[in-house]
Amino acid sequence: MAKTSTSPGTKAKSESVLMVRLKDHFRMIRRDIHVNKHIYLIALPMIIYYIIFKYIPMYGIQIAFKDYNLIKGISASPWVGFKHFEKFISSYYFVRVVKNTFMISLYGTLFAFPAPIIFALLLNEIRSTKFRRTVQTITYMPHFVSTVVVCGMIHMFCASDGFLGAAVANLLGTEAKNLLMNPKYFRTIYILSDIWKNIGWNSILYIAAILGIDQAQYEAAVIDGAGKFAQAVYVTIPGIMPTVIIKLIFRMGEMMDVGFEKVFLLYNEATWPVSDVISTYTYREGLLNMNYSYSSAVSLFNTVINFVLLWTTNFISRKVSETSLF
Amino acid sequence: MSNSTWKRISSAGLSAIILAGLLAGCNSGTNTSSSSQSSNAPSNNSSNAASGEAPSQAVPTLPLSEPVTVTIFSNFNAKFVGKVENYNDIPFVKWWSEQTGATIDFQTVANEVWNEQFGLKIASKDLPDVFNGVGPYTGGDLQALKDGVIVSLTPYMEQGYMPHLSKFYETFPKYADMARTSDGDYLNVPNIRGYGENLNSNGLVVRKDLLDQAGLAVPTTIEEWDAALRAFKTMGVIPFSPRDNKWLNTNMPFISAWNMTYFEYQDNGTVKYGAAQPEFKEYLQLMHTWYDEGLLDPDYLTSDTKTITAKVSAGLVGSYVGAAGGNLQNPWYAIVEENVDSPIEYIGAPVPTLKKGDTPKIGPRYDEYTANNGFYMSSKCANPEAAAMVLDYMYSEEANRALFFGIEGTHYNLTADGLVDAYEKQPDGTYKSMGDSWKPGFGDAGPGYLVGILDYANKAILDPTGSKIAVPMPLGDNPDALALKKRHIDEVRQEALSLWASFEAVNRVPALNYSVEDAQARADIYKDIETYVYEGVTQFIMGQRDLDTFDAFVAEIQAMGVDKAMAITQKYLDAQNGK
Repeated sequence: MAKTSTSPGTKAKSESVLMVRLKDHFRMIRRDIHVNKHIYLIALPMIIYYIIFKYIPMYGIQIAFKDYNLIKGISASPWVGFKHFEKFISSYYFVRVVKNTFMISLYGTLFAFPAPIIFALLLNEIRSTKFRRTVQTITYMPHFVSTVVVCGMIHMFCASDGFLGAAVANLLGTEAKNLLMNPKYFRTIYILSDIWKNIGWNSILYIAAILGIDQAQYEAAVIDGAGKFAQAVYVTIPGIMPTVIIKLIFRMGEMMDVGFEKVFLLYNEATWPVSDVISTYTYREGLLNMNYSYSSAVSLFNTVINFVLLWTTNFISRKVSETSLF
Repeated sequence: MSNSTWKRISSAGLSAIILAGLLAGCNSGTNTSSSSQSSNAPSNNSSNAASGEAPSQAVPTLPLSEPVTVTIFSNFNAKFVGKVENYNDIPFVKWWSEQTGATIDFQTVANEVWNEQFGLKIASKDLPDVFNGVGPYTGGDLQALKDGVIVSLTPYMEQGYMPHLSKFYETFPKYADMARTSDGDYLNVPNIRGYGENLNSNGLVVRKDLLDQAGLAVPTTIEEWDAALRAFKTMGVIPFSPRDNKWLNTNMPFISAWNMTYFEYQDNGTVKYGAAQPEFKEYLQLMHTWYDEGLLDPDYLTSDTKTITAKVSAGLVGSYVGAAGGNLQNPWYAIVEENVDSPIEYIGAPVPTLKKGDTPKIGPRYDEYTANNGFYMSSKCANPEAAAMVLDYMYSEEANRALFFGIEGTHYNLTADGLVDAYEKQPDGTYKSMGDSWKPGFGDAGPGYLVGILDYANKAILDPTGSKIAVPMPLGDNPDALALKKRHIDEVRQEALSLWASFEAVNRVPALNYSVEDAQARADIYKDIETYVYEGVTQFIMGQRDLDTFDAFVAEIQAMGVDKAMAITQKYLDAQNGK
């Protein structure tokens, strides 16, 4: 922006400079649309979709601060301020439930996030195309098995007469017990089954990123005397780093979103201290049934935390590396 | 050239297919509703007749002379899936329409989307004439009344549009007390469970053959159960296989011996909390010992009905909490259907006590009346008087009989003792059921869960532990082994049902008509306490927590405000007892 001085003459001038710049801007935009109108046309449905389904409904967030009554509608429902948030935060189990949600998410980020990356790196090293394709196909398959079926299998395997129960008993030298009834194992079972299910599918993106790395870099590395491992560390990993960072930022924006279904299917009273998460807690207490205000408040609470985490991670990433989401 | 035209054709074709797929998805709704609109009655027949002549006298009788349509919004009970598309196809509903002269139009939605659709209906202010159940409404029927979604039925009862229901309440004032709100209104045409057996269908089931092998009788006290379970353990079966703690509480297989439950119960009119009582420690000690010694299924917390049924059918279980409904896929039958000669045999066991010969004072029992079920009239009902009469007909004697059996002479005959005989003998000596054309029965779909509480079952009222109101299927001239065995099991099941009903439910806190605020306050306090109790019980049973810390457990429950919640219950209980 041009520097402005306060004398009337120059003020008028700086205003007109502003107007000229705006006019230029609009002219640029109009020209862009005219030249690329087909692209804008294709983008238009998506833009409308986002406006209608994502932005306009934000008007409804206010019901988190009201006692929403279906008959009265949003506008006529009375304001109650933070009543629902207070009710949620002052629940006896609030701290535990938030902690469990956070811990499961954290474990997921620590273990389930790097797994597909490592898997993609390993796949990259396979020479035989046939073998690699077979491995890929087989590892994609668990992704399509529904959560309910997977949890059924886990129940069977972890029972005291299931093979996992027996295996653990052998390792530890104790008698076979049901693994799902042991709170110490819950997160492990949850994360490991998550990895098993999604490792193949999630590695697709990283495989694609690896393929996008310039071969010349590999050749340069070989000339410099790098072996396989050094190549992976110094060429491949930096090459896919932007993808990894973007995915990580996304992941941070989902920290509080531990899914209801899988936890609900795997948990039981013995593991409630570690497995009860926000979604299952509020479900079990029957607090969400048509209680739209309360459930809005809970999900607003989650969303705000997610957003803060997302923004922070993005900020850090922008300062530390060149990659960031926005 | 041909290559690029081929490409063009294939890409056009592909986009057409995708577009078609999208549009196909757009078309279907998610529900099985028949969406005829509720039509305004062509004439306000009944109200004209009523107001034209002397007000309280001239109430028209059914069938109505002018056609009226009554729309009823309902969920679709899962038991009907595969049998009918819509409730309107159920024979009873068609008969009901004929008898009343009104067109009854059920608008049903699948169970999974009931909450959603209910909310949508209310938000769009496009209400049907009648709601079959207002369960999804926050705050229940009382709140729905306050918000103007439903209207009270009391004026229609007073004006004489609902003679059958009024007579029913006069004959059985205890049900009237249950259905009446704390403000004195009657809001619905209710579902009422009739008699002893129908109030509970679960109980302890034990292996007779193993008991015989061990030389034991069917256990009736906790000590006898202890001996039986230990004997089972030596025989290599899982002695007792329950589901999780919630199940152990709802079905109270053993806690009832101490005449209490985990949660609220009453002792001579005083409300108490089970988990905070010192006797609870004895119960925990017992269960902990059983768990330690392998007498409880080590997987019990992850068991659900299917896994237990599988184990039971395979004969791996010595005792469990089972159901005795006849139409379930039951291990009782499954075993003989697979192998008629199988030695495995189950029988029901009575509710256990501490001392031999005692009668337990509490046991699992459904409430006879549960609020938010039944027919509620909406505030947008087009012809409320006609609707009131139509709904009231459910409580007439003919309707009550038709609900379960059909039409006399066509679907059943009455024996000399007044029992229902639904089988007629064929020339070749076999028996055929007469009632097949009347199926599926309406019983599970809405009110009238009375199971013949009127008429036939005046017997049932006098004999609350059970009634054989239907003649069991005759065996025919040459019954085969399977038929004989099934008949035997049927008798055993009936026996089990009466054993399970053999307690006086004096210690049970009945369903009370809380006001909306009190119900909310009470529920808020109890929800967290329940979680704490279930967790604590699990930890005590599994040994993760030492029983010496039981006092701290009780102190924590007190700190969570259990006394406040009990005070609310006490208030309403006193009001009900003081009546």
